Amino acid sequence: MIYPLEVAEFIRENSKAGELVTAALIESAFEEHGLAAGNAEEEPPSISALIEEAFRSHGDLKEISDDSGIARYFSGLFMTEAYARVLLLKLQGPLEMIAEVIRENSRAYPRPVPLALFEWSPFDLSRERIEPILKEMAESPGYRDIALLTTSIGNLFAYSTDYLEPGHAEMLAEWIDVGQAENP
Amino acid sequence: MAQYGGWAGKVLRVDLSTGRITTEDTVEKYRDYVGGTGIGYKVLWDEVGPNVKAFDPENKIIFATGPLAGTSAPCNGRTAITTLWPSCWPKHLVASGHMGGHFAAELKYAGFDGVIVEGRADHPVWLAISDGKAEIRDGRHLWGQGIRRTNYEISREMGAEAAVAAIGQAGENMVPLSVISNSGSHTGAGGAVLGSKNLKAIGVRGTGSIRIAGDKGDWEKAVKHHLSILGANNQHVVPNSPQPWAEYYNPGTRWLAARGRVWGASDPPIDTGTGDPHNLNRIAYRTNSAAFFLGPDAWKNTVRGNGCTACPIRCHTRIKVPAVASKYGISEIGQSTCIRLVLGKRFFKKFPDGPLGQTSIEACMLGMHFADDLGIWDNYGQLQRDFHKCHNEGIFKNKVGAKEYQSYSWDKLERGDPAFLFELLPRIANREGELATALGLGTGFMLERWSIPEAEWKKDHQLNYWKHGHPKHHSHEDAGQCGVVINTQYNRDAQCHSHSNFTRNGLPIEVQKKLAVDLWGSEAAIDPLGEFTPMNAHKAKMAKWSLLRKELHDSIALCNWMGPWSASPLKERGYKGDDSLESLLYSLATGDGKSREELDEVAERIFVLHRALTIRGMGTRDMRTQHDTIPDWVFADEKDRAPFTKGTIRMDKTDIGNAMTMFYRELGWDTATGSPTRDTYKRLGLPEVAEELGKAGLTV
Ligand code: SF4
Repeated sequence: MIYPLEVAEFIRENSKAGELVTAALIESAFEEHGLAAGNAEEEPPSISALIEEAFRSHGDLKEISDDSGIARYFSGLFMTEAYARVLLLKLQGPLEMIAEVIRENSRAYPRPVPLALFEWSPFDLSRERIEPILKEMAESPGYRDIALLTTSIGNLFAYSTDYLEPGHAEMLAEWIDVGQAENP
Repeated sequence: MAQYGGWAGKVLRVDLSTGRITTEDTVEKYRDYVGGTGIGYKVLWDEVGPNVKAFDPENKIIFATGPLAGTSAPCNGRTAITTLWPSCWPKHLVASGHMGGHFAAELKYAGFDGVIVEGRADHPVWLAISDGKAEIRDGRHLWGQGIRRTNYEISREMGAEAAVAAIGQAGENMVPLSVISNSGSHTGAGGAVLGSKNLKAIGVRGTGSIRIAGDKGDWEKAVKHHLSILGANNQHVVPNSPQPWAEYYNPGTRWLAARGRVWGASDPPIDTGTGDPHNLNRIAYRTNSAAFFLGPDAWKNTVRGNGCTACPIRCHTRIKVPAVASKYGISEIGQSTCIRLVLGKRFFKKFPDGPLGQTSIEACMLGMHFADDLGIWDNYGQLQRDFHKCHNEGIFKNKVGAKEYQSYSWDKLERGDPAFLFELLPRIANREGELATALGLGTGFMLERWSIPEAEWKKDHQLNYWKHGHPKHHSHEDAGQCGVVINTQYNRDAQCHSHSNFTRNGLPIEVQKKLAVDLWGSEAAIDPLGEFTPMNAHKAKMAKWSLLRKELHDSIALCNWMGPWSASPLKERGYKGDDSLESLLYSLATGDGKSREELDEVAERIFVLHRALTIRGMGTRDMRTQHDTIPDWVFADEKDRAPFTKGTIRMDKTDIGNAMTMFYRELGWDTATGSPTRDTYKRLGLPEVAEELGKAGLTV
C-alpha cells in the first residue's frame, strides 16, 4: 500500500540527488518494491490521484513541465526551481540546453559562461561532445545570437549577442577567467 | 577589568634594548581602540615621533589581536602587526600586516591581547610567552635558520601546541619585502622590522580561556547565526556550478564544492558534495583555493582545507605534489591561499604544459616552499610584476653588472622551468647581488635606487602599481569609484575586502542591488561590472562603510577576507547577510554593549587615527594632492573607450575628483585638503590629536 507520504518522500529523495521524477517513474519504482496504490480489497487509487493527494498534504512538492506536457515533480526543500529548469532543459537536448543557459546567463547577471561549465554536473557533457554541438549551433539559424570568444589563457566562453555587446562580453570573460584569480 | 569579557586583559610591552618587560591593562588603556590596528595606531601616535624610520630602534612593532580572538566566533584567528612600513616610499609611514593562523588565540590564552615590541636587542633573541609570563631568550642558534626550523626548535622548547611567529632570512637581512609567519602559511608583512630589532621569533603558549560576558545561550545563538550566513572564502555566497539547493550559480566564485569534485590526495578521497548551506557541518568543503587558483587539475592534489582558529572556511588548502619531492628535494606537501599560493608561478610568462598544467603547480609549490621558509613578501604580486617589467625592458641588464646578470639562468625562466626560483628567491632573502637586493626593497625604493621615475610605473596598467611603493588592491575593476577611493587611503596596498567581497559574491546584479538599498541607501551604490555610472553619494557611503569595517575587523580580530557578512547564501533571507553581526558578537563577548552605529564610530576613530598618523608622518595636511593620488592607468583604456561605456573599467578624472570630494564629505573631512577637521577629531574622541596636529599647522 502506498501512502501520499511515501510519494512525497520518494520525490524528496530524488530531489536531494538532483533528479526530477515523473508519475511513471513513481509508479514503476513502487511496483519494483512490490507496492501498489491503495489496498487489496479496494480498487487502488490511480497514481495521479495519489500524487494529487501528496501535493495537497505536502507543501514543499512542486511541479514543472515543458512543451511535451509531461509533468515532473520535485521538492522545494531540496531543489530550487532554477535547478529544476536546468534539468528540464537538459531533456530538450544539448543544443537547446546550451543555448538557453548561455542566454539566461547573458541576460540575468550579465556574463558570458565558460564552455567548461557544460562539462560539470548537471550538464555532464564531455569536452569531445561540446565542440560538434557548437558547430551545429553555428550552422542553425535559431542560434545566431550565440557567440564565442577565447580568453587570454585560451579558454572558450559563450554569450548571447541579444543581451551582451562583444566588447563587454570579452572584458567580463577575461575577468572571470583571469582577472579574479590575478586580483585575489 | 573584571566586568569585561572578550579581552584577555593585558598588553605586554617588551623593551629589547633594556630587557625590561612590563604589562598594561588593555581595557583601561585601549578600550576605545578595541584591539588590533586600533592598539597599534594608538601606540604609534603616543610613542613614535614623525621622524622615526622603520629600522630605527625608536620604531615599535605592535602585535595585537582583539576581543573576539580565541572565542568561538567564526573566522577569528587574526593578529594585526602595526609599525612604520619599510617598503613605504619615499618615507616610512604607518601600515599594518594581517596575520591569521593560531598565534592570536594562543596569545589570548596566555593572557595577552597584544605585544608591543620596542628598542633593539644587542644580539639575536626570541621572546617566549607562556601563561602570563614572558622571557627574552638567546636566539643566536636560530639566526640564519628558516621559519620552519625556527618553529621546530621553539616548539621543542615550548611544546607542540605553541604558536610561533617567526622571521626567515629575509627578515633577518632587513629585506623590506619580508614577512612574519606562524602556523605554516599564515603571514603578515613587517618581517624586516623584527629583523632590525634582532628579534627572531615570538613563541606563545597559553592554557587559559576567554570569558564571554554575555549570556552563554545568546552567545551560542549568535555563533550559530553567524555560521548560518557564511558563504565560501571571500563570503562568496553562490556556488560556482549549479547545485540542486541553489537558485543561482556563478563560475567566478570560490564556492567550488560539488558532487564529483573530490579531494583526490586525501585517503580515502573525499567528495565535497552539493554543499547545502543549511548543513553547518560541511562548510569546510565549500572552498578549495588550490583548485580555484591552480586550476581543476589541483583537485587530484588536494588533501584538505586548513585555516585560522575557529574558521570553518579553511581557505589555506593543503596540497600534495609528490613530483616536487623527487625533482626538487622539497616537501611534497604545501598549503596556502590567495596570492601566496601562486607566488612562484607568477615569475613565469609561460609553462611548457600551459598556464594551469602540472609545471605551474610545481612552480607554486616551490614558491610556497621558499617564501614561507625564507619569509619573503611579494607585495601583493608587485614583486613579480616589477620583475617582468625590468626583465622585459632590459632594466636588469642595464642596472646590474654583466657577471651578475649572466649568473641567472634566463633560459630556464623563458622556458618555464620552476628551478629558476632556486636562483632568485634565496638571493632576494639574502640580499645577494644588485638585482635581488633592489627587488627586495619594494617598488618605490627600487625605482629610486635605479633612478627610474615613479611616473613610468604609474602609466602602465599591466603593473597595477598605485603609489607609495605598492600596488592596487581591489580597485575599480571590482567596485568602480568606491574601489578607487579605497585605494587612495593607505600607505601599502589597501588590503580592504569589504567592497570586493560584496561585488564578487556571485549573486545576480538585481539581487545585489536590492541588498545595496539596505546597506548604502540605494541601488545606485553599485554598478554591474564594466557598466559604470557616474559617482553618487551612495557610492561614497559604500566606500566609507568598507573602510570602517576593514578597520573594525582588524581591531576586533575577525577576518576581512570573509567579512562583512553583507550577503548570505540563504534564499529564505532574500540573500541578506547581517551587517550588525560584528556589534552583536562584540557586545556579547565583551559586555560593552554597542550598536552597529556605535561600533562603526569606534572603527571611524581608528581609521581617522591612521589618517592623523599619515598626516603627521608626511608633515602636510594636503592629503588630497600629496597622498590620495591615483595612477594614470586608471584613466586609460587599451582600446581608448570612453569612461562609462560598456566593457571598460576606465574612470573619468572629473568624476573621480567628485568621488574624492563626496567621500571626504561623508567622513566629515575638509574637502579641499582631504584632512579630517578639528570637529571630526573631537567628535571621534581624538581632541589631543587635533591639538597636536593643530600646533604643527596640520589641521583645518
Ligand atoms: S577565511 Fe581563511 S584567512 Fe580568513 S579566517 Fe578563515 S581560514 Fe583564515
